[in-house]
Amino acid sequence: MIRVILLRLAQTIPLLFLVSLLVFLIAKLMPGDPISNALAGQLSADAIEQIRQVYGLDKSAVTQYFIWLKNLLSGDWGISLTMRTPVAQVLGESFTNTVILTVAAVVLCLVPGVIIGIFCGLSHGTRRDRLVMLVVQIGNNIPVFWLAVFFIWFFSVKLGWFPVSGMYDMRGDRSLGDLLHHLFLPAFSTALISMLILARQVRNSVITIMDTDYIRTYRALGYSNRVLLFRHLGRNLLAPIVGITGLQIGYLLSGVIFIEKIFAWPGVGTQLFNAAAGQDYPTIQTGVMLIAVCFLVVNLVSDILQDWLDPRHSGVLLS
Amino acid sequence: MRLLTFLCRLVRHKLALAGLLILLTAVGLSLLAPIIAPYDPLQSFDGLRLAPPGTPGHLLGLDNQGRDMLSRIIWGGRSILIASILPVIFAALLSLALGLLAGFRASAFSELIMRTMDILFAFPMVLLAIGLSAVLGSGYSTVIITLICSVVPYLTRVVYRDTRSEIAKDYVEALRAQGASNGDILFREILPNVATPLLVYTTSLLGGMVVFLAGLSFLGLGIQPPEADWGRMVGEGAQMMILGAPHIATAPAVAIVLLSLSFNWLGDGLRDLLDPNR
Amino acid sequence: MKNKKLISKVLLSRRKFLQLAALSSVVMASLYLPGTAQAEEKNESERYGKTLIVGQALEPTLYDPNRQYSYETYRVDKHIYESLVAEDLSVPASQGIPPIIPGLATSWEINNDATVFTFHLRPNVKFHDGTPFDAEAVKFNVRRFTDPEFEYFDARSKATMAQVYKDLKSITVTDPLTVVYTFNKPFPGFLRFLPQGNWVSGIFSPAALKKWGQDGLADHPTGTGPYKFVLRVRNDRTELVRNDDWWGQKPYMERIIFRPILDGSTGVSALQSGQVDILSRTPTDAVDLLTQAGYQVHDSTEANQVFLGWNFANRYTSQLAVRQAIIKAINREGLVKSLLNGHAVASYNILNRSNEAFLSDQKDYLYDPEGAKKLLADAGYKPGEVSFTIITYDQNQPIIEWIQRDLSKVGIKVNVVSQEWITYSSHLANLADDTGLFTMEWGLLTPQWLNVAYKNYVVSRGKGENVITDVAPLIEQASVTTDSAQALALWHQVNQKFQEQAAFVPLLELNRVFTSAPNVQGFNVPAQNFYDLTKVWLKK
Repeated sequence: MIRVILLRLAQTIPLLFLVSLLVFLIAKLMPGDPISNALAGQLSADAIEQIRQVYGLDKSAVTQYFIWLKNLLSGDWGISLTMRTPVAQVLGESFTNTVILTVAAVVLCLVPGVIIGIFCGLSHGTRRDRLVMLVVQIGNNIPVFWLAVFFIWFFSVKLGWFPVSGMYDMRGDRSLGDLLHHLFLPAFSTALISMLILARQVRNSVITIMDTDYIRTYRALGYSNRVLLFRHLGRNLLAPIVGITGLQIGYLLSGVIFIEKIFAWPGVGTQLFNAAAGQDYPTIQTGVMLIAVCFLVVNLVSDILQDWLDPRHSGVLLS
Repeated sequence: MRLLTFLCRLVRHKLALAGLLILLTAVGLSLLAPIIAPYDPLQSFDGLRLAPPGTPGHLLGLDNQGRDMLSRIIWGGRSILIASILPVIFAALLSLALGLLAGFRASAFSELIMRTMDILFAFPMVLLAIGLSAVLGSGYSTVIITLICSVVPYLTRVVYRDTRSEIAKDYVEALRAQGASNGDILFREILPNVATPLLVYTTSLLGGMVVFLAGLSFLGLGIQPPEADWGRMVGEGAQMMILGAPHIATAPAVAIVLLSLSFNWLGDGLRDLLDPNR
Repeated sequence: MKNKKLISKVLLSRRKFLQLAALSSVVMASLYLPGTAQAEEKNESERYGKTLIVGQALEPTLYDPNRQYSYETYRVDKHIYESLVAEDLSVPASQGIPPIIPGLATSWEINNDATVFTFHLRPNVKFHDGTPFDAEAVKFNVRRFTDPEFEYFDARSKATMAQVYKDLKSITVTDPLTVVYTFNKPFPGFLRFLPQGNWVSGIFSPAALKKWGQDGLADHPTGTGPYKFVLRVRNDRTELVRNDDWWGQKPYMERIIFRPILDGSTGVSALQSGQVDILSRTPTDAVDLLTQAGYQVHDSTEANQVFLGWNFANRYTSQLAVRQAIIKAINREGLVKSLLNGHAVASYNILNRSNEAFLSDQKDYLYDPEGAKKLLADAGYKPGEVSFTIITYDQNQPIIEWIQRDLSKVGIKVNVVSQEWITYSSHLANLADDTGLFTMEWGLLTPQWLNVAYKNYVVSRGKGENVITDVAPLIEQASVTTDSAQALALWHQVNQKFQEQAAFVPLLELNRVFTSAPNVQGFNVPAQNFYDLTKVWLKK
């Protein structure tokens, strides 16, 4: 068990390095240099050069990479070039918000997704199942950004059930209830499509499991679906659910950027977007690293969990 | 002979047929866009800004700049088809090559390829697009590169896995015993067996890629105004939805859904027909 | 006889009736007129409220008076930092330019040739950190951006404040409450510059600068104003809390929160759902539906206009004929009528309507697409040959798309590149060669705007001073002329030269910009780009 974890870690860490290199290279490819761009009209060439030295822009690319990496690991994440504030401050404030949103989306994705999946899997072949699967298939293809806007229009503007944007009511006292009220629509919009994907996969897994001799025997012996569900399906389902969720977190993170823009959720996605447009590469580098690290960690945890739950990978995995 | 049977079976599979028909319609409309589209997609009609669907002469209404929605959807379909189909085909071919090479024989080279795929897999693609847009600017190049980078890891893994399992099969051993060269085995026997599932996956994947592409355009990373582009149109229409003109965002969204569904149905049909065992 | 009596009775009663009517109307009027002592006393205490929320169109830049730019920044920190003089922003736009009133200086003297300004400072004023406001503090402030020998000198501030202070000869403290500015040249416009949103001479606490450093001041803005800084979360909000020790009349709202809401329709929804009370930029498509729903979409004559500036280094736009053709090709009236639903005024003059030097018949080039085509043809260009990029920020993208279409009708191909505002403005200093025009919105009430526009949008844009000639000496002369009539005449000439040489592309002035919720009272929109929130209160 420990061996598995260590093995996975050993595989992940070089991945992280490579990701960091990729990120750094992309940043370095950007034409021009934000400091010079921003201050060109205001200061003399000497003064600009001085500031560039402060930011370490005068050294070779290789040196800059290693300096950056060293700083990154020791917690010095540099100064944002467009906002002139520490990157840690810029990202830190927003990172928590993105995490909140993503966690909420995962919950909203998992719970209904699994329930619907099991429901359809058990009633496989009936009209109910087919109808739900049709809805799932259509929903799969709906662009999340349109859906989010539609939800805002329908639930916030027309029905007034939810707030239009932001994380908290500015006049309120930032209570948990207020947060949840603001959180629901963005999280739901993010999660909906992944939830449908999860439902479909769970359904397929349920069908396959129900088809195994093992379960067939039990059914022949007269066990009801309910009992089978709780005793055996659950255990067998856990591994693929973990696997799919791990994958979905990737989609969710990508989706989060759209959602943040639409709902004006003050998260990391918006920051990165502005940073990219402004060639603010300290922010981009650190931000992307942060997300990639999270992504890899989540995948790692998911892989480890899967190994633990189903060491033979025998079970009913993704098609 | 096989092709004919295949086509017959395809026609009988209803959803796949529907998908194929939608797709053919979309392609047809796109090719004939200059003739079929009622108006110039860039032309603005005085006083008809934001007019709803059903306005005389404008079936789907007009947008924020007073341009005809139907024409823009037809022309937008053209750009989304080109921007999705061609890069994905290229990516599929690339994945085929990489997957075959990596799966054929376990070597340092194949390890390298698969690890690289893992990295790309680990990367939220939207971020890649955002980063690329800072370097290359927004436009076709950013979007196409991102698309290729999103598709290749997934398809390479599929090809790799299939190659590995094919290699393990008895007939390959038999061929080797008979003295067949590696090249022969790879290209004559394995490739056809691997290409079929690849085709199925690619077709289904195209659906997701159409939506992804639209998403990138929505964020402003795709082609720049005033060209018609479905994703961008949804983005521009998003504001107008709240201000009372939902058709501007919804018409292109419906088009995106239909196109994506058609790819999915076609892919499902292909899967059922070509690979009923799976 | 009887009739006479009757008539006189009637007349008498009529007179009495009229008297009564007059009296009662006076009584009624006094009850309803704002500002009468009775009404005020009764309502005053009810006006104090908790939180006011303002939706902003753009994310503010920095809360450092010597480094900041953009209206939305000043709209926030004008409540934190005060200048020596202020503008009376309670004067409604219809009554003209807000007059200069005392701020941190209670009185001042200007010598005959406007080279020496003596300010008498308000006594017993403290900064938010408790340190005293006095002449030394003012001098500290000024030295930060003028004196390289000063320990707390800041080169960036100098670059920003140079527009106002580059000809400052000296600043002296004659006693703790008197400070004297001496300029090398006459500077009749100095006072008006002090409370503007850019190069604002807002006074910060020297102790705060010493404590937090040059970069840190923006994160800990400390001034003397009616509100104190609480916190700022970028892209989310800025919170201010009332300064109960302020020298002026106590503001009604205890807390003001500024929220940047970049997307216009999100702002409208936020307003409609009560999440914001005031919106500082209203999408023109929403004006009618908001008005019908009972919101006050204030008619405003701002000091601001949307215009385009040239990149004089671009191979096409460096030529007069091309510039003139471009201006002629743009249908400004059509743009205003169609895209903006008539909620704007087309502008043919880089001076906006509220500017002191504005002349309504001084227009550049009227809409004439055939004339534009002819100009291009005469200059030797084939249709489609002239091609460049127009850069803009997201809020104005629809306008630029419209212009793109107008230009394509005369055979000019245009690419549009749109970015988020802060990114956009940080790229402005370095225009790419293929950029022909950039988008901007700004304006001032003083004719000095011509000088500002020249410096910022001609000189630094690809050596524009070589393209737009003969204006620099005129501007210089106008700036130092103390006689206001003579100065105005000179400014008119400057503008004339600008128009002849097509130095700018004025586009339009938005006039339905600010919206306030029905329960917002005391919100006045002056003929300026900012407003005073201290007198705003929420009706319960």
